[in-house]
Amino acid sequence: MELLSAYKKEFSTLGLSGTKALEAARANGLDSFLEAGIPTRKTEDWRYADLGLLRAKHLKRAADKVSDIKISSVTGWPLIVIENGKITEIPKTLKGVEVLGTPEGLEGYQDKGLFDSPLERMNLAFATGGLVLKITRGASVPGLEIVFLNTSAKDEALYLRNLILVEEDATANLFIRTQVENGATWTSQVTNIYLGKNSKLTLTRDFEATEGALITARDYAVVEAGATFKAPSLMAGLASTRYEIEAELLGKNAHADLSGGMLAGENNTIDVLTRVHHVKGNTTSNQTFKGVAGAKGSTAFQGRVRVEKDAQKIEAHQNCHNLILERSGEANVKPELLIFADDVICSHGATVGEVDKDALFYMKQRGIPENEARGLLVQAFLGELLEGLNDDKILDHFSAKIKAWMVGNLK
Amino acid sequence: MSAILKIENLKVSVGKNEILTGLDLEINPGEVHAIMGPNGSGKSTLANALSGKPGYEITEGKVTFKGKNLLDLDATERAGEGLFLGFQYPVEIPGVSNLNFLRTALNAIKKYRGEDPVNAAIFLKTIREKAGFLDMDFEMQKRGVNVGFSGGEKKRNEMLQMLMLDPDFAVLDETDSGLDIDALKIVAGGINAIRGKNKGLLLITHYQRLLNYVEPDFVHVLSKGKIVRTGDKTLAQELEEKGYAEVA
Repeated sequence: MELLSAYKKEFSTLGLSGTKALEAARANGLDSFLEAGIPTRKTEDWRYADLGLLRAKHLKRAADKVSDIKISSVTGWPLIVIENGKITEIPKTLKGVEVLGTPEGLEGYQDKGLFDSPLERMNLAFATGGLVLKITRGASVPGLEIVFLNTSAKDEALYLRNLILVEEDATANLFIRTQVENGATWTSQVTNIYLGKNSKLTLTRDFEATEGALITARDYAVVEAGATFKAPSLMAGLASTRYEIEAELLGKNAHADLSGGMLAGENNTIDVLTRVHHVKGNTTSNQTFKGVAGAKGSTAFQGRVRVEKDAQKIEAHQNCHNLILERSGEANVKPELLIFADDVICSHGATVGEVDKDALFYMKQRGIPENEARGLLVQAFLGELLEGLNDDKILDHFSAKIKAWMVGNLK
Repeated sequence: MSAILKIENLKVSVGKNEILTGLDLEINPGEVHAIMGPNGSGKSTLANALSGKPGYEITEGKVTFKGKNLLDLDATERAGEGLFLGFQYPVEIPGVSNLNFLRTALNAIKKYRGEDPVNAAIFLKTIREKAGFLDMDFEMQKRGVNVGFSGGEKKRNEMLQMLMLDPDFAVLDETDSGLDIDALKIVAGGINAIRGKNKGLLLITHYQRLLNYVEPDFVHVLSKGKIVRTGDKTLAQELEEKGYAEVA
């Protein structure tokens, strides 16, 4: 309770202004958050999330100051940098892209998403800024890299709220990196995404943080008829990460493809929650997540597909496979299918296993040292995810991150 | 001449069962030995114990490989010293290409010996050549290790790995099983190709037919975990005619 009153008090001192509608939405967000409180492991949807940092003490809303850290593009694409909620770098011209400021951009886009989360409500109340990006009708954006840099101080919280609008017939390829420089900070990130008819969006996410940090991120995508939403991700940092990803398929031939690598190192929790909602018939979805838990690391996947009564002839697949490197590691998998239609193709698969001992011995017998062999096997395990990436630079970046993670976690 | 491999009174247990009950064998450089024996006599146990597979407990005895105590080394070090095991059931490793696997193995062995890594172009040229020699499609090397390979292709792949790694000593565990006659000839060609002055070979087999193409210097009969008879290649023919029960 003390924690909640600290947040209530903080909110009243912030004096956040904006349009009436936005102010009302923020106040409403705060109320819902205060009512629900900070989630605990007693709630099923939060059972595996590590919110220790959040529960320990009140985290002050981060000041919007700017450091001298220089960010360079991984992909070679045009780069937008948002530091502590403020845009600090943006290309002079971006064909087919409009960047709107915040908080103006927040107006009218306060979607809750499919999953009722107190942290999302809290994010709305406290949102500092973020990015509002519009890909204009029929435009094609072959590559845009966006870096959310968090340089806030210890015991601070950074609330980012973003909106990505992809208009009809537009195509965009975005690489979004969340980079957290200091431990004991919380990055709360909510991104609402809208895909207009026959549009295509690939949103590749990379989470990178220093030890002791906490990242919670939610992507909520509304996908109109004929549109394709692809969202591959890699969580291989040192921070505990909670990633919620939701897709609502609203019309014929809407497609969502969600995938991610969850690499949990020592005392790390990587917790993914998905919601795919087939609202209309003839829609398709795919979910492929892979977890690797090192010593005392923990991964979790709670995936849900919901097929509405009218959503006939849909196809939905969900897979989560896990590798545990040490016996002290942990993998939690909960696939759920809620099907109310009768003419559907749905599948789910979940596995938890250890490194194949026969393969390990085979490699050792050929002269490959144990660590190197285990590294190759982990990489092979994640190979399917890497093969699905649509850009070689991102693939190299992810491969290097996986390698670096393994060096730290293979003993 | 000192032996390349010397096994003295080797006793090996798997779980509570003693499988090898005091095996002696000495192989000199340049020699090819064949071990034959009925099912359950301990042939594969010998191969696995020599290569350092976990779960094979050496309870007694001594194994000297090129003057070193082999049993002090782990599987990786044994490979580094030049010991190769051709697997009875080669393992599939999806996601790791044959090329990557072999290059990693070759470089690991070179590193163990303090040598420079293999030049990528030379590596590719060599593997193309050797694959051609074994009548294998080079494109298959781009696939996952043994993934989608037929039984015969897996055994040829074992031979390809052996030729590439060029070991001083190879133990081939039923490399001939599951091969048709054409594949058998090709595999035998691979074995004969590494048969050299200073190398040693130990062929483990059920049947005499491989020995028509790879002529052994010695044939041993293994029974109940021990070598019970030793002879030249004619012993293999005798076994084929009379069966193990009568000969051993």
